[in-house]
Amino acid sequence: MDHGRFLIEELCRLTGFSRRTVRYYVQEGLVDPPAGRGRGGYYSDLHVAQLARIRQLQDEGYRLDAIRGMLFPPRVAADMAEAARPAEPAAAPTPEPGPAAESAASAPGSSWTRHVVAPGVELHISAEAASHLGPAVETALEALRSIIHHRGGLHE
Amino acid sequence: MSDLYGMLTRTGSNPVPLAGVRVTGDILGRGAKVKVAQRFHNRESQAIETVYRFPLPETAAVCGFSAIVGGRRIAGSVEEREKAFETYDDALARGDGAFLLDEERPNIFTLSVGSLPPNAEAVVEIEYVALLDQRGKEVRFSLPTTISPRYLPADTPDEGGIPARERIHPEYAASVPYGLSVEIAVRDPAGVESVESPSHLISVSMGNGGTTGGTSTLVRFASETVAMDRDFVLTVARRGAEQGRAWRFSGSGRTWVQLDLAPDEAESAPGAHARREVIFVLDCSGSMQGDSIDQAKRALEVCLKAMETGCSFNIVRFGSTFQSLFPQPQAYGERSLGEALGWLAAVNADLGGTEVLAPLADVYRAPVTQGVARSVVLLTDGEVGNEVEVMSLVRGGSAGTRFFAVGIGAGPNDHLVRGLARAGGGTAAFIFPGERIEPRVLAIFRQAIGARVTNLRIDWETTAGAAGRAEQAPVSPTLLLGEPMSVFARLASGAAVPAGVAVNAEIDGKPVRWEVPVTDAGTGSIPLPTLWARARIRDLEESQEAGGRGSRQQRPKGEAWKQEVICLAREFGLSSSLTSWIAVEEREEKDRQTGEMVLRRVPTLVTVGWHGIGSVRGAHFGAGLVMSQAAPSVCESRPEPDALCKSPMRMDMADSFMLDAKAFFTRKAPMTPGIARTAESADSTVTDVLMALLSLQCVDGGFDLDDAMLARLGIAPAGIAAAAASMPGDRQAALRVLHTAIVLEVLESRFADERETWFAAVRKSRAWLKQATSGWGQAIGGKSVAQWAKELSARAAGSKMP
Repeated sequence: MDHGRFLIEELCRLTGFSRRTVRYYVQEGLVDPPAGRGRGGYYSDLHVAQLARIRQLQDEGYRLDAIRGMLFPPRVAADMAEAARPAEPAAAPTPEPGPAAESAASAPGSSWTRHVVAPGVELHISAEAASHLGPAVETALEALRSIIHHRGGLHE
Repeated sequence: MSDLYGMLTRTGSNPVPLAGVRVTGDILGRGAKVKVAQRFHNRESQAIETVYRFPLPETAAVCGFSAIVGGRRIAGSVEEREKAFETYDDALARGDGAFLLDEERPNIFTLSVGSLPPNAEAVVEIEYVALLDQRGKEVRFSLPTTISPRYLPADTPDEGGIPARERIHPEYAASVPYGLSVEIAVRDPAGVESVESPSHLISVSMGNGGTTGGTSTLVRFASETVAMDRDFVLTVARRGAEQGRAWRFSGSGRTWVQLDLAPDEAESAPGAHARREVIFVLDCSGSMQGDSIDQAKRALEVCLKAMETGCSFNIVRFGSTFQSLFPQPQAYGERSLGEALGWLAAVNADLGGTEVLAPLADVYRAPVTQGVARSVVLLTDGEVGNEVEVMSLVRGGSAGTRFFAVGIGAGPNDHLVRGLARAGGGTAAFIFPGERIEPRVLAIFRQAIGARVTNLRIDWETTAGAAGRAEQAPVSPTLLLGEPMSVFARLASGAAVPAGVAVNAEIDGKPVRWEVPVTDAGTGSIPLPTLWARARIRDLEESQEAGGRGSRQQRPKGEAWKQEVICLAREFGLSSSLTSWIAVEEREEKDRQTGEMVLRRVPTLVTVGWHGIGSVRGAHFGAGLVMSQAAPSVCESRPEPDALCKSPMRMDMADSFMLDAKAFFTRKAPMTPGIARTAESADSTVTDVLMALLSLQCVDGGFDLDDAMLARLGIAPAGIAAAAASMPGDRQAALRVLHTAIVLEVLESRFADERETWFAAVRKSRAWLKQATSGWGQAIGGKSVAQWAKELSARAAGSKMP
């Protein structure tokens, strides 16, 4: 899949993202780092495809926090994964763990997305459930956040 | 405070690259010229890119940016925001050094320092100019030092494909190894009466300093550096405040004019204006816990007591949800006031998130009764990140409604507070914890219920008659009686230099006209073209944010406003929402850093008092020392233990000493000869008497004075009793009439300097007295009640001053 060899400005032109945004996505692990060292590296069709996917989801009305969860469902602690067996392996590939995966241990066989509802409150959804639920996940998150705020919750 | 809802991160083993911040500046009358120097040092063994997010006042026109590396100064330039980023990015890719300053909000900036090699140092200097708030003779300088976590509603859209929080929140830490030092030079042609800080312990001396090095009153922190966890607030009392002045500056074939107008509130006839409805909106979100909610409640109480019969009011408190005191605004009276005070006493900051949009939308949805002018008074720390949406709502709200905002706490979001006041044709005030609430809040409240100035028109070329139009900024300024307004204009090319500016307006429907002579601004003052350009850029940015609503006349269509902002920002060297500052350090081939570098975000402190964490209490008026200019040139002493023990605030202060070794105190420094003394005498006592006096006011406006108060005023009760006996009607009612007349006279004769504080509070007293004594004539031994009170007060003043 690694075709093309683009400099950052060409990548921006091809995808319509500003350079600032591309650098941010790379920094956040949403887009792979360029080949070669430092900022002068090269980008390929893979990067174009990654950015196109983000753009597509944005056009569908998703915000980056949701997109992050959809693109890189992190794996959660083994015990939770154990309880969820026998789930199908994740349909979506997980090329790089996103930042949300930092605290999640690897759990072979199933892929879960961790959504932060409010500080100290998380919602974990398996890749399989997410594919059935689609945009309902976002709706559920909004509802949960609203309930927590309504109760004079933690988040400010 | 080791973990704040998971927001505070440990700085870990990576050394923090920011070594310190030094602020030098000049306060010149109402203007300020400030330089913020941030020193970075890479203590790591690898190259780093460091990102520092920090606040500046939203009034700042950021007009200078440079970096000093290896003894070399690299001057920055202004570029369109994304182009500046590309220049920065290209420089880093080449291995050069680069410095980028982005404006995320008018009061939030991000500095990126690219590729700092191991052990390298760099100093970044950011310069800004600003016009300061002025109330009466007091000018207020405020410098924010940290950005409180801002609440973003769950549906906040991304900005440029990046979550909004990423543009406004710094990294937070429980402690940081760097601090702030300041040196502010205060100069005023009219003279400086006193300098004080409600936020920090300061030292005041005469000397050479500031950005120009000239002789002036120099203000520094009493300690070398302070923690960057609260605004630095400095108030300067000037000798004499002008009513109306205008300045001109000519250069590059163009002329700029600045008009400062501060019409006295006496220009409006009391009681002549329409009926008022006041809706108080009180922020009860979690971030208001602690100092802030207590202050806001007190401020609201002060307003409620100062309200006049004939007004109606309601109180809305909000967090994630909102509640109203009454289903509909209620007429002001004994009963509604009692209900409101009882309700207020039970209010806590327990409503969670800061969903400010919903309660304001609800307020604006409610229709206003015919013939009633509505004012909304918001009390908040403003810690939200959706300023644009909230301002948009207020700007598009009903035309008869004015918006007033009071910023509470040690680090309020001044962009929201000021922006809302601008959008709603009102004004803003700020109260630092421990600061006297009454003067500021009453000044705001007086304008909320006072006369309204409409149909304001400024004629910039009274003698010229030149072709073309003056470009005025702001296009639609708000003029409030008793509040200085500054408006700028760039005159048409080739226009004759004007000798005067004429202002036409209506006060409660009656036409008025002011003519203000224009004098030369000279050099060395705050640059007029810069202030004009900043105001014009703000106009363009904010009228665009209104999305076409409101009544801005000069809003360019489509994207043209963006081009104008970018052109102005580049021409005048200013940052804006669409432009950034960029400086590139070109390196020799051998010094280029093309290898890997790691990103280091500078951690910052959370504002003290935020969410009730920590407290600034103890920084109290009345708790500081009164220093004298005749004292040694540098006064570095902390308050004497004796002085602390005598202070009425000693418990607060003792607590704060125990809780926080870096306790801060107010320091007041009058610029007149005198001896050092505690604040228990002099001004604090004057203010205490005044406050005690005002607290005796009844709902109808009349006063009932007790013997203790009369004794403090030096007035014998016997004389009053004798006079009451000679008056018609009930004796108790007669006493209230006489007491009220005495209070009004005492306020005028002895508290003229504190007029700001009492003026609104006693307007209803005057009206009440007039009504109560109508037809009495020369009731007391051939004298009117007012004459009698005047003579009594003068006799008492001769024997005892408060």
